[in-house]
Amino acid sequence: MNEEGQPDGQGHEGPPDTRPYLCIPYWTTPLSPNGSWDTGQQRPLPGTVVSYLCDSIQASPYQPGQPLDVEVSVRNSGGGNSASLATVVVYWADPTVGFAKPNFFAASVVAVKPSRTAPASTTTPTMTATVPASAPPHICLLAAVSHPQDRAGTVCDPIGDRHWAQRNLQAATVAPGAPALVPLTVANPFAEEAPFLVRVGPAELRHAERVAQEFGTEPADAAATVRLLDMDGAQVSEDGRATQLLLSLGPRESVRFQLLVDVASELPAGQSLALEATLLDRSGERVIGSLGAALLGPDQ
Amino acid sequence: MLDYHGDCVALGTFVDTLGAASFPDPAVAAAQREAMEAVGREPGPALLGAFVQQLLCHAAADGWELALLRRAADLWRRGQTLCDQLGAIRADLEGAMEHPADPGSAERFNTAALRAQEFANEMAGIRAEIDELRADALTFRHLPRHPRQADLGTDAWDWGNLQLARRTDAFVRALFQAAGDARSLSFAVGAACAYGANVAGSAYLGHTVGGLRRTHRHRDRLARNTVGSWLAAHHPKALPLTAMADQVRFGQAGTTELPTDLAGLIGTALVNTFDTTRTAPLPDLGLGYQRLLEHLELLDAFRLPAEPPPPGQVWMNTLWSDPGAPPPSLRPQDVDVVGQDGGGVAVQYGPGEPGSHKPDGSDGSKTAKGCGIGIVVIILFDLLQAFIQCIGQWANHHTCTFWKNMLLSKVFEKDPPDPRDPTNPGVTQDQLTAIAATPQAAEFVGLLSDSHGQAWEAMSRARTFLASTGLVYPADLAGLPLFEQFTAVPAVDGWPHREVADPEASYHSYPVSPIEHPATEPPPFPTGANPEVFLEGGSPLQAATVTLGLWGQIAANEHSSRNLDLDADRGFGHPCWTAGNSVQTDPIDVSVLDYDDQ
Repeated sequence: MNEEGQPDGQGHEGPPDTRPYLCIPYWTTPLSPNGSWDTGQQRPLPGTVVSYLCDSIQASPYQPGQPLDVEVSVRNSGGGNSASLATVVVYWADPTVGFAKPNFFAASVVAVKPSRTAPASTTTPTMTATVPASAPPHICLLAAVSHPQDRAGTVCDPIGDRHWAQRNLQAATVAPGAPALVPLTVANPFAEEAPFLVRVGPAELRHAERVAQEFGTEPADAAATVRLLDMDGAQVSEDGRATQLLLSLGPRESVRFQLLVDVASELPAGQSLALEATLLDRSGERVIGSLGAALLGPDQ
Repeated sequence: MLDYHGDCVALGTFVDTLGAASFPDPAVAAAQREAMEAVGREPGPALLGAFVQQLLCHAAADGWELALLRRAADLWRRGQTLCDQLGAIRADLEGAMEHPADPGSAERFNTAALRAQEFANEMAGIRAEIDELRADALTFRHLPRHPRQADLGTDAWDWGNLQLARRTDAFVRALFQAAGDARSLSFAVGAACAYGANVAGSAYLGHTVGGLRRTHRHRDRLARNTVGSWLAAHHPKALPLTAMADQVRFGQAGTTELPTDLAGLIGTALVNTFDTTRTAPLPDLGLGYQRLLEHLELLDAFRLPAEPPPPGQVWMNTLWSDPGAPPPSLRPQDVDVVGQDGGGVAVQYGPGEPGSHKPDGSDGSKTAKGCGIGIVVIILFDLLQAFIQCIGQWANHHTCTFWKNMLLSKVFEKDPPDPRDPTNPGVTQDQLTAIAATPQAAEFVGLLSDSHGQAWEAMSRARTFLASTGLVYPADLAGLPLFEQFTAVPAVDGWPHREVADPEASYHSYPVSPIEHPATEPPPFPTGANPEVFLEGGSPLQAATVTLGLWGQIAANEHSSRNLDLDADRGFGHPCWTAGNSVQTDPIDVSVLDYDDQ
């Protein structure tokens, strides 16, 4: 930082840069007292941000085989004073942690003026398309913003690439003695083979509150037992309040699992239990993908 | 000195203030009724009166700025047309390839391909004009140095500057004195409004600029235009520019003659106010009026064309279905190209960074050197040439190395080509059907869309350039840092700042030059106040209050006011003054002029 409290290279005379600096913002109010709105600079996303719930992606109620409306808000934190024409592409995918080959949904172009002193964003025109009737009852939406002089990365990386964002939350009904089977696809977003660690467990409180808010509920003070099954129903991970699985995936390979969720007691009406699945590199340090699931009681 | 919007809004707020005021003196109350009736019945002369400083500035100017703006507006109109044409060409090319089996698709494709080449030639044709205009604008001849800053005597001052710094109160009184009917009274009321607006508004401008119009003419122009845009967007009394032009045009549309009664009124007031044997010759008021009308209309001409639509979803699906293989672009990646004359790459390499919250290098005039139109021309020429050359080979399912070479080459590093004779690709329906299924067809559609987007961005950059050089209003750009700095009063430590050594390189930033002594207090506007602060009631400095003070004296036939500097030169409410020494010396020997001094 320089003496003006700005990133190095800013606020001084020097080669001017008027290229766009695009992002799909995850937050519009500062996350901390001295923080800022989302300019795209903080990537990977801070841990306090729910990476699978980007409010800049807005969609109408989803039903397979029916038209779906999607709008995406983007911002340009770049220098200069003229607008850039950004391309926004929306993809959909089965509930997936990590994205390998999402399906094209629609694309739009939007003029985005640079905004350096306010959390301003520009929303695309409504994009309408129909996800096939064969698609699952829950899907993930993924969006990318790109400009020839500020291109989105070729890896679908909402956590590490400011050009990408996702809205990736599903719901399942659970009751004691009636375990839920939640479909879960694990995908390698990279073009090379790599080992990964998949973790599934309860969301931390702030994330749980955010997930509950999506369903108009409160976070439940309850616990669930989870385990991963392969598509033949064979258990592939330990069961417990959290579970994990080490696996190796080829380039852009995806593997389908089922998450078996069992609750000890019935979830009260108006409450939900949030689970998160995260895809990490082998060290468990770097988060590569995420997915949320809200468990609701049978009456909801 | 304020802009048109500031003057217009000040008129509206003063009329409200005057209408709501009550006066115990029957003579003043009668004058109030008379003034209100005059303005209500003759709104055109009132607004023209509010523009009296603008009119005199135009009359005294050399016409360079208006000529420059006229050229810019002409280029802008042609650019808009070309952008629209490119949209139509794209629609035809994409439509023909999307439905190649439709009757007429081949002809539609061939015709559009011909038009696209003609379009590229036209773009190449105006590129030289754009470069020339840009170079002329960057001389900043449209912002001439203030004669006081050159230590000239007032006999050598132009009337635009003279009327703002000498006998200002007296000129308004002379207008009222000469007003013999409702039209002329309405004009005089408007001129009184302009007096108060400039006294208070110029103080606001000087506060945000960090100094005076005399010493910071580039920043002052930006501030003036930005405040005008802000008021146009936020104040209910604001009018669109063309509506203002219509209101001050008397007679039929297209009329540009200043009515003789108003010309006589202004001329009489000037002669009765100034000793014209010690001034430059009186300016041509009719010419000033014509220029004012044209200026208002030209300023309203710089609207961006419609945003280019993306290619149809069929094409977008092909182009973007694999996030790992996005479509190619012929534009430079990770390179900022706007600063290079005649195409080519320059300025900034590497990944971009967020811009500063404060005006920074990306706001300076050096970033405004090019709008990128040269690169659009190069890309279009290469794209069309390659596509047309390859069509035959693709139709026969052969690889076309020309196309691949084009995608691999850095076309943006080339010099813009000369116009070429268009080539009819002569595609048959069968060939079109074969081509449409190739991945290169989607690439072509994507690259053409990219070129259209770049042409639109070039227009956007051009408008920013014109706004940053002070030639046009920033309008919707007023919220960006370069302009936003003038819509909130800054906290200052010392005021006013002296001229800076190289203003063209630094006028985007608040000055850091030494204070001009004797230092004076900056205007008492609260930190953070927006431009409304000099117009609304409750402010320590309100335009309408200044006007009401002068109008009240005139109505009561009192005479105890002073001639206030309409640039607020040396601070709010400072009377007209002269320097006993050079204004370049420190401190300046400031001498306030007596009321009759010129």
